[in-house]
Amino acid sequence: MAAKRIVIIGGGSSGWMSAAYLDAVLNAEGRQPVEIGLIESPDVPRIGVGEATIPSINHILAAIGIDEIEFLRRVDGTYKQAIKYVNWLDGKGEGYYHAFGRYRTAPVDTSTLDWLTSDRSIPFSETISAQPVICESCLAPKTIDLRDIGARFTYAYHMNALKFADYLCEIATGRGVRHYRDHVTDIEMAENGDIAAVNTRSGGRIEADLFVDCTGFAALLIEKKLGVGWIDCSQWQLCNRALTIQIPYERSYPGYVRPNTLATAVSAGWIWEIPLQNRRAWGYVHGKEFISEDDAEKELRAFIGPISDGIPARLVPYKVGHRAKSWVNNCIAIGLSAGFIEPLESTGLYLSDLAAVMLTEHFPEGGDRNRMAFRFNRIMANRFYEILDFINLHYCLTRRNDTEFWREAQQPERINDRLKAKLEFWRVKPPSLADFEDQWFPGQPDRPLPDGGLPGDHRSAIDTAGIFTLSSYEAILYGMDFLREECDRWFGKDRPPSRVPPNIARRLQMAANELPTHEKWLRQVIGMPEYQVQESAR
Amino acid sequence: MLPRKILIVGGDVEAWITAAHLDGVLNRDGRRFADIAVLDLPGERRTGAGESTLASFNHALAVMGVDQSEFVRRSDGTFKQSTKYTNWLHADGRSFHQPFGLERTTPVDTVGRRWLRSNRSVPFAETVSVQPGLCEMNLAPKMTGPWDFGPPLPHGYHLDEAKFADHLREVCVARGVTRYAEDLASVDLAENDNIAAILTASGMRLEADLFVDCSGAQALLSGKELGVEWYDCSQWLLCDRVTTMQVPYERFYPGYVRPYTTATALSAGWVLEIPLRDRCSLRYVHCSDYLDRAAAETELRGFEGRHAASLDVETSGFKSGRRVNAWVGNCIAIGNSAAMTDPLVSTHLYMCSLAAAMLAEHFPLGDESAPLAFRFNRIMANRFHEIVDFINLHYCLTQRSDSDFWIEVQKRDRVSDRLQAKLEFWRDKPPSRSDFEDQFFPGQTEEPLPSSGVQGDYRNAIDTAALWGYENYEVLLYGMDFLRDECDERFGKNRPDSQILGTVVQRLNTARNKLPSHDLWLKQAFGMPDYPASKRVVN
Repeated sequence: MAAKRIVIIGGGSSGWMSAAYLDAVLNAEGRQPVEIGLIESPDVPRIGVGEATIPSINHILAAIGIDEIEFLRRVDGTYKQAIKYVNWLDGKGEGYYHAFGRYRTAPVDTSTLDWLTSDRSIPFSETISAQPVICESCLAPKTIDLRDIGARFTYAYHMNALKFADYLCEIATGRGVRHYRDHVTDIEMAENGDIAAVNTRSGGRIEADLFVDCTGFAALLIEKKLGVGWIDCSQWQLCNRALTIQIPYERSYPGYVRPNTLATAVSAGWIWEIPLQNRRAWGYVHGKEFISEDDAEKELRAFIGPISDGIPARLVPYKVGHRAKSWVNNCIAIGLSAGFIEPLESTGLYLSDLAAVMLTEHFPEGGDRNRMAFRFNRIMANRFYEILDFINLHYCLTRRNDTEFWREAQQPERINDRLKAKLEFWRVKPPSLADFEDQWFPGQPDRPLPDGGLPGDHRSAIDTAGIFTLSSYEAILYGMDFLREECDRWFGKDRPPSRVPPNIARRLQMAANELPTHEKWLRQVIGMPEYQVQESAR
Repeated sequence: MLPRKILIVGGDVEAWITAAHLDGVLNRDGRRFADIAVLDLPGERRTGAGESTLASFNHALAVMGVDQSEFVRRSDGTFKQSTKYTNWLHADGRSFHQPFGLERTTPVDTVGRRWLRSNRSVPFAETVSVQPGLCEMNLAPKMTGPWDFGPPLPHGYHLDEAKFADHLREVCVARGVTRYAEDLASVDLAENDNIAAILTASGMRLEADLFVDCSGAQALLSGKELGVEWYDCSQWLLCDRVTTMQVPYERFYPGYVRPYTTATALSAGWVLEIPLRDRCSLRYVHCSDYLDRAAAETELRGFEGRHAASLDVETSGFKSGRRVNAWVGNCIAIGNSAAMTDPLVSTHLYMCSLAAAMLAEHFPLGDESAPLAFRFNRIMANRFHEIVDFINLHYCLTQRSDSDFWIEVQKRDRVSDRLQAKLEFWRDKPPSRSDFEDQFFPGQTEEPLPSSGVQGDYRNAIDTAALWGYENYEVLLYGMDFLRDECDERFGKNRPDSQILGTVVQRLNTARNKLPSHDLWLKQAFGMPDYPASKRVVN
């Protein structure tokens, strides 16, 4: 049966992103219109920490029809061209970049081999992308007059997720999405196991063909009503809560806006630093088994410096895992109700964005709805495990031994079997493009996916490289000094110095001549206010 | 230790593609990872076989370091922009194109769904590609002067395989690939079943670290010597014999050179027509269970016309299937020794290039090679099954019932389980992008891959859509009138006209003035002779 009415429960960023995207795609010209409503409870506080995104956000923005400049204005947005990882390998102040842009040679790509056969005197990331140096100089990815300066830099954004939700709400409701400011009191079931309707405090009864559960960890529909199980993945992620602090620029402005996220490894996890147009946000992601809340707060404040004195920190506990099935009958969980992985690679909004895209692709238009659910669930599970393994990779190659946390992160049982198989294979052959098509490596167990008590697809997850491709893996692996001994063996110890290819050198020259600082760009193009610089803020 | 010694056995196009790829990837930028030699078997050479390529062949040429223009000149080459399928749905003369260039809408691609909501007044491929129109006008994908016609038109080639092999051989030898023009006498096996050396007819002993079997269907190393099992796929691809005929333009020239390959369904298979610069090369690919040799010959002559009555024909057999493990020990099978399919989608040269590229990508840097062989075999098997399913799809959606062959190919046991699961799913939801990432669909059986008993991988093949994405499946499925009833049911029978993408309409309009005819281009660029046009007379 074709679905005609959708109701989304929950008004956070997942809810409004789903509403705006579903409306933009499903109600595009030439399709049978779908009625979309969103119920937002006035009682439920929204989770709003500084949010970093990945470049896929640009698809959602384009599909909804959002202008980039307007978007940046509305969400206090800044550019993000990379993540810089500090202290992950030895904890001695070293760092590496995972940049979004990647240079390759054609027709045969030798960019990685060039570095592997060199003496590693220049960090890998600087030999394959101009963005690490651009980030170090705090430059914008664009000129002030937005003119063409050759290939566009790949980027995503930092933004205020609550403002993003508000902005999407305005767009979606302006286009006819119905906004109920009401509290769901009761969920009514139909005989076939579908949700028939939700009843609200104001006495409304809202029916729909599909119900989208965007109620966060509360998972009102998918868990509380339908009882769909949760698959815990804490074995591979030791962190389980974040302690956050936001400091407005009025109080402390360092004089620059980093065009990248900073992720610094500390005693029992890592600290993010995300700059917006009006403030910086820090968050200490840690494992409660390894550090107390008090000690974590002390460590975070010591990291930020005295500028955080008197500003309260907020503790956000979370659980790592995913819903056994995020689409069951006529209920689809999107956002935290469907799963969560720590924000190390900023994949929170991405998983919601992907779910919205997949829901439009698998939207029931007359075929068997359960077959749509089967595929949707398989795709979402595959992608979840892809991210999980990639995050796992950041930890398990550490050489740090200074705390229990980092010693534990290297234990074999903390490394996923899929990832282990990859690492073993890549010690025989450096990672290459073909590895990212079908990621089934020798020695990998064919263990089925956990079933959460429901019939369906229990084949093991396929890592399809839907987001983290060869480039991303190379950035982390070689940033973590992977294959050092193997290269000595394969290519001898006496190797020529690393070099920056001429293309990247030219890009850097262009950047130095043409690109303004990120701060200047934001002030002149977006209208970010001028703040007084404090040396102590740096 | 690097460099490693590689010996390629076989002197056909397969061997030289492999040599040129390995040299192009492994010995570049001052690095030298491989010492390459070819044992060029003087045995019977294929002459005059016309072959057609995919658009990705341009990348292969670049990797091999072969100049496009020089290659076309030397190989009697012409351009290919599409494959035209005629009589596949019904034997009524209707056809559809599978062009290389397919346009889409962004950021959300809606063209497939829009067409399904239309009344199908324009064939799907023509709504998303300028190339069916260009092909029907016999236009070249190049301008006579500098190109100013927007993005380039993707194209592959038609070529003479033997001449191409000669050209590649010269390129390789000039770059330092060693050539031994000799027969193979015997193979010297080491204790661990690795190949230690090859003894030639003149008594030379050629040692190497890796041996590549490019000896074609006879599989001298992989099959004969190592006995690696063959996995037969004739259950899904019935055709097993080819009748070939060369039609020199001196005998018959239609007045144009088609810039596309044609595949026309006949009574027990289909005819491939490959237009070269001096002749058209024809192959009637058919199933020997349904048509005897003489009848195939008669049917092919009848198809070509009265002028074909006295032309020579040759007949040869083939078997669709693959070597269970293409890489065993230190021996890697590439080309027909590793896998063969019905040539419907022109993948022979592609599979050679892919195998060579994969060997270069999985080239042993250290001592360990077993994990590399495992991955190489898995990748090649995946790709092979992707191709088998795609070819299978061309046959199984036919609605022809005019011959036993066409009735047979529609039967359920002629459709692979993977394909069956896809088709069932796509009846519920039209194919879309995400179907091509992880192609495991509800109801699909999890039948393991065959294994020769060598330690390896028994998991189901994964169709990675490396070759054909949803765009190509859409073209084929909708060309075969897929989802007609479902669309009537879902969207009603009274639907609006199909719309051609605006960019396609614009480009077609300007094409007439910009693009020369294909034969004119070939005459100007490569001095193709003027042939008087003849009129085809079919009995």
